[in-house]
Amino acid sequence: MQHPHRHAVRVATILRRQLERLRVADIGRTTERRAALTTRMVQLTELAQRMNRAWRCQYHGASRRLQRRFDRQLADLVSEINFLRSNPEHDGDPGRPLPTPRQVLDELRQIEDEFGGWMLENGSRTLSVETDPITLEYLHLGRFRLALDLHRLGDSPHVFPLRVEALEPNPAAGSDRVTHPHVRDECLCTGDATAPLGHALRDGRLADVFMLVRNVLNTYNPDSPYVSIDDWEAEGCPECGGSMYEDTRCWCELCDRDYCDECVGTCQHCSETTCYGCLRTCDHCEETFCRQCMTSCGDCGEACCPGCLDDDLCPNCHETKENDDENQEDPIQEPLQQEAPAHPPTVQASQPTAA
Amino acid sequence: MQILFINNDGAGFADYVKVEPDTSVEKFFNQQLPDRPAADFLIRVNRQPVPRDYRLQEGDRVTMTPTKIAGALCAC
Repeated sequence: MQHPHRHAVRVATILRRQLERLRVADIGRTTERRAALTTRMVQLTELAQRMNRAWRCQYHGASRRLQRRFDRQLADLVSEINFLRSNPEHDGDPGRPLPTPRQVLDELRQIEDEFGGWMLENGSRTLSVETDPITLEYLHLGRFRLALDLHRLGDSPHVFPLRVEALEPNPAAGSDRVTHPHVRDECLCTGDATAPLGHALRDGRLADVFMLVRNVLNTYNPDSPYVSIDDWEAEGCPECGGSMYEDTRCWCELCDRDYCDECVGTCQHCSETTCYGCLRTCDHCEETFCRQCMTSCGDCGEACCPGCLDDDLCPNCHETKENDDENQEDPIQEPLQQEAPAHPPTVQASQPTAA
Repeated sequence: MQILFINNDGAGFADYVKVEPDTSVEKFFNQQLPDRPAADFLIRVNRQPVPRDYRLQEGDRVTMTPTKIAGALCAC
């Protein structure tokens, strides 16, 4: 852990530069949003005038259509206003002072009080802290390192440049990428903390940023985890990625792996259960067979099940062979069959007469 | 008197607010976040934990941060 005085000025310099970038971007976006809002209000006013005219003239059909359009545009306007009110990038005060080295020093001191220390690494690029061990319900997830990339703070208002690294990883059995129900690939989905984090970041309140993230990590939201706590120990099916439990796990003898019960089928010949990757469908009877039972036609090589195979030939090749054999036994019939198309004119000529 | 109030709940904001002199931090919490249990929040005054009967002073910096915040899943 490092002493705050030594690095506060450096952190403050980086922070001020990045927040300045973010602020310029925020102002640009806010200007665009406000312009769009004004345009929408003008459109709504014009629509209201047209509705009034339609009512006066008793154009009832037009009135109803305009009313529906008005309601839709009004709902869009309300959501636009709510967005402007709630989104941190749009409440930016261009004159708001940037954090001073003194304030950053206070932030670093508070981080030290709350987390027991902090580290500035990668050439002053990353400010990081470590959490206490985190346990959600009965699931022990260990400590996490929260690494904030100071140089990327100003990149985008929609990207939160913080890595959440598991120091004592206990990942979900089904995915090493998920080290916490709300962390995948070291990226935390901040959920309800998104708006306050945005405000804290823009104000340079680094201690609040880390505390909010820690509190998200200490909370389990069963409604939208990457992997739920109940499924944490369940291995992932190699086929579909879904959780496999003891009672739904199926062993594929052919590839020596477990699969979930939705990703296996039964061979119609040997009755063994195998994964879909080891099952083949016979083109002739359309039944499924394991790749060991599935055979192939001795002539065309096409996959064919043992039941459809006859004399080592698939039904198509078998039929062709039979025809060939018949022709060879009775070679005189062949020319007669070829001459057959010459007879129909005689038949056609007789039809009108009969009619 | 005026204090800086930083609310890390909901949309989150930081602003100066007026409070009556001799207001305790518990009373201020109940004014700002009625119907919310104080036990679910980390309350700091001037970056330090304080007892609930702490009397707010002019220029104090009060932070209220929920201890339970629901994360989610998203495409990062």
